[in-house]
Amino acid sequence: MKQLVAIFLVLIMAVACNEKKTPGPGIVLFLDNVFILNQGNFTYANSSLSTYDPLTKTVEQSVFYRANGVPLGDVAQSMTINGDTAYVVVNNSGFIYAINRKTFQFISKITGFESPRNMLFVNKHKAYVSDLYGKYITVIYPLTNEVIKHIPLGRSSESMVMAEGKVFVANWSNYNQTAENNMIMVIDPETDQLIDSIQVGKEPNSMVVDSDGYLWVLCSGGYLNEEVATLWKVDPVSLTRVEKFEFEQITDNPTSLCLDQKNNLYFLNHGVFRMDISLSELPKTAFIPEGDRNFYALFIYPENQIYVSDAGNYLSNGWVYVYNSSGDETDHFEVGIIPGYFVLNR
Amino acid sequence: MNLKFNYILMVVMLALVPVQLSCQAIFDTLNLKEFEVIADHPESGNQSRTQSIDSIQMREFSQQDLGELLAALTPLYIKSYGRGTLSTVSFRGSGSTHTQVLWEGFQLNSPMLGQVDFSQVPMAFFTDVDLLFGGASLEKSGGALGGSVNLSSNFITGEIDKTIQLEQTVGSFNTYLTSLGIHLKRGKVSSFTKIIRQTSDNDFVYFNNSMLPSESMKQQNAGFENVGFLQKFSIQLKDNQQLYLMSWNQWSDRDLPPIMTNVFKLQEEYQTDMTSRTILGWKKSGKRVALQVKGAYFFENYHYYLKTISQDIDSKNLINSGFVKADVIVELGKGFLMTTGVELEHQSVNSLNYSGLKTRNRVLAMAVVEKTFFNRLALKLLLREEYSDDSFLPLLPYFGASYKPFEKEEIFIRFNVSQNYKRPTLNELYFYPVGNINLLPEKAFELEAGIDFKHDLWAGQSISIGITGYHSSISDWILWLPGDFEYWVPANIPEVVSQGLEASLNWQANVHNWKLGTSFQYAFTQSTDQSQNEVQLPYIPVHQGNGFISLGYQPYFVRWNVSYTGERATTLDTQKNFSNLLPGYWLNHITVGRTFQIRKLDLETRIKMYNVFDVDYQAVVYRAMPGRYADLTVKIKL
Repeated sequence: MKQLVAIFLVLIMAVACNEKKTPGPGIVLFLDNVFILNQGNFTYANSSLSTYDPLTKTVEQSVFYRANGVPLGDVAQSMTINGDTAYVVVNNSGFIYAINRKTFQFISKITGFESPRNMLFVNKHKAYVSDLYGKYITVIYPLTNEVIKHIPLGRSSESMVMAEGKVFVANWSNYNQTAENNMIMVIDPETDQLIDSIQVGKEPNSMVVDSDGYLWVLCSGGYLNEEVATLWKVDPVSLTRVEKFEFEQITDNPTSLCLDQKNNLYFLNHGVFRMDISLSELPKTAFIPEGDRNFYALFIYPENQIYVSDAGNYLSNGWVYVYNSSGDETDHFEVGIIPGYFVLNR
Repeated sequence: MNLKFNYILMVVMLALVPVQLSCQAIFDTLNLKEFEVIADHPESGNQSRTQSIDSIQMREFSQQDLGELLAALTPLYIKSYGRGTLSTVSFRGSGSTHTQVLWEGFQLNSPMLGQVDFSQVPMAFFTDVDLLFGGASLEKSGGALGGSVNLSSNFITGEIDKTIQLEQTVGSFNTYLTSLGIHLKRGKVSSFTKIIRQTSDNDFVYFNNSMLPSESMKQQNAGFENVGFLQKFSIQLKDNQQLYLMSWNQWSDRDLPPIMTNVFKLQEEYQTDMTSRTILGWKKSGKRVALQVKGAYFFENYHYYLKTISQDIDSKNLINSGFVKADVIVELGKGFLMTTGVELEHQSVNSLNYSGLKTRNRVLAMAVVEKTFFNRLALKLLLREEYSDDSFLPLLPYFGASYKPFEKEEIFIRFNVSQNYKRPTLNELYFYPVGNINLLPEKAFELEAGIDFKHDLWAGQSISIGITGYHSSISDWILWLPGDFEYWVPANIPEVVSQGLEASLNWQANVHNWKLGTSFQYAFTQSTDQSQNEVQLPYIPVHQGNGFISLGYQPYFVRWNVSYTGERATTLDTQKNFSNLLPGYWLNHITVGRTFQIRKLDLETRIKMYNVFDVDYQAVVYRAMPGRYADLTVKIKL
């Protein structure tokens, strides 16, 4: 059981914005670099990878290009660390680069996708890749970079988390599907079978698992504000809804659900909002106001520092702002175009 | 011709239009040279910059597309996504939607995108290409904030009863280009038919250094097939009256290659288009009056397909357009011309990308007065008005002057100032989900001044030099900017200022049996977004130029085309780095050929080598371009 818990913790850490709260016994937290993945512009292949060292407050830009002499690709969507390898999912290029997480040097390329979005290691030897166009999960064997099989979902897939030994997959986009995009699909990673699903709000965009093991799902309500945004608390064992929070305005478009170690949820909704999971209502005012910035992605560093990216006008380089747990800014720095994903380089 | 009648007609036509309108008259097929009315221009002194493609140049590009011709011979910037793929054109640092293409006076620009894909305009269908820069475009159309490219198909000329011409090209990458032209004449009726078929696998090998591991690969999914015909009938009703019908029909089927970083993505994109454009016209010219009335019907059917494992998207777009236009040119006195015109236009678009059928109706009117004083000074005043989308656009005025300071020297100083407006395109207004019906029309204020110099040198040589400076300020410029997720969103940006210099040099020499023709073009362009720290707009090179040299020694000929495209930014980002700055490049193409005369048969063979120095370049970021390649053309004329 301990082993399971440890694996579970590591896996959760590997997914940005899915910070595990309390470190288990024997796990020592230490400061590491933060990777900032810059999407770049769709079809412009100007993605880039930046790193930030919180101790020295130094930023390195375009580390992939500097190490390899080629561009990172078209829309670098997400990044997953497994051992010494960092996997960069390059969405519109349709591949995943495996790079050395310390030297950033190219190791290998995984191909065979339509529109890959996120990668989740379900165990040492198996990873799932979600897909915006493909109505299936692609199962990868990372040692050989082979696509082993597909798990049919009948829907597109986006963010993924593991809880209670199951993989929860959000059906975020309704692109090319007739079904409502308001489901969390449940997969058994042992058998690679779709075993169940839970209905949530429209456009579930991000998920976290809290220290009590509950799954939290943030739904934006739709690109065109088709319904009011919602936050769901789900029991991953019984697959039932525990709680549902509705946002006030139809124009609310919350994204980037994160969790810190003190059981606070964070999300973006034109500002960084913070909510204690024990509270029974959504926060009314922003913990960190957006001002004239364009907040785009959120990340909670293990010791409760808050990282929020500013995509600006989507054309020029974006910025990252760092705050301590009291909400005081401790640093800000420039990164690449549309900083859209953070991950701890550990 | 009764002059009175024509005056009355003109007055009636003007009266058809609200007083505050001025009219859009289109001279187009009313080629002044054919007229008996010829204004006393100060001997070709023009108030604006124009450029015409000469006949040798037209022959050189007879099997290619308009984009390739413009890239080689003009100072326009051609943004080509690859051979046979999308190619758009910008004048003077403006956008591709600011370049209008008119065929026989009717706009080819898509009402959806606002632009023309120049790769889909085969030169085989045209006899003349004339460029009107900046404000000069107002003479033919409104809304061409950069300028206009005017195409004509004046195939029926001369007294010959019958000609047949076959041109066959075979080239690299399994490329076959065929064109057949047949001209028949019986009494007063002439017929001209041109049929083309162009196919290519277009699977050139290139080194993909935009991905790891870097490797040589074949360009994939880039083949194309174009089939089309142009039919023109014309009846000489009287000596000065002609009725004509012409129809240009084209079917194209092409694969859309992925960018170099995306070749492993499991998807295929392709496009099939069908366009049919038909014009019925009548023209008449008298001693002091020329008149023409014409109507056109354009039908365009565009299908874009995206095929992946999970989906098969067929994005359908159907466009129907009807146009009617009439214009009159009257010589009011010696060197005093007046032109008036009206045009009605209806376009309807049925697109899966819009919610419901979208239509646009336009009423256009214009009037031009030109007067020459002392055979030295020519002034032109033009007013144009447009009513569309249920409102009037502000009046579009143009004023130009041309002055010849020395009686015996062919030196002309020219100047013009104009104001132009352009409505948003239907995509900008309605494209789901990013279209914005609140977008404002783009407004341009343009100034231009220049000097032209022509001189005959010794031994059959002549030289002409033109230098033009311009300044244009476009407010509420519509730019598609990246938004959240993958959508690009159209937005008005406050102000773009374009300014620059254009220089041209032509040198002709006929010495003994040698014929030399050279033409050089250079453009210096600054086009800056005033709201973005005056950063140069993407895909507008500061420096650009080309040269075309043709040397003939009967029966042999050599043509050399060199072009330079300077460094370009690919985004509006103020910080330039590897990913958003494309290096400049030189391209050289050389043609060698000879002509034969075998009895009544005119024969020509030529070999063209493209990108002679095998330059590895990108015209658009991460779009693969071919290295050196060649084709062989045989032309037979009977």
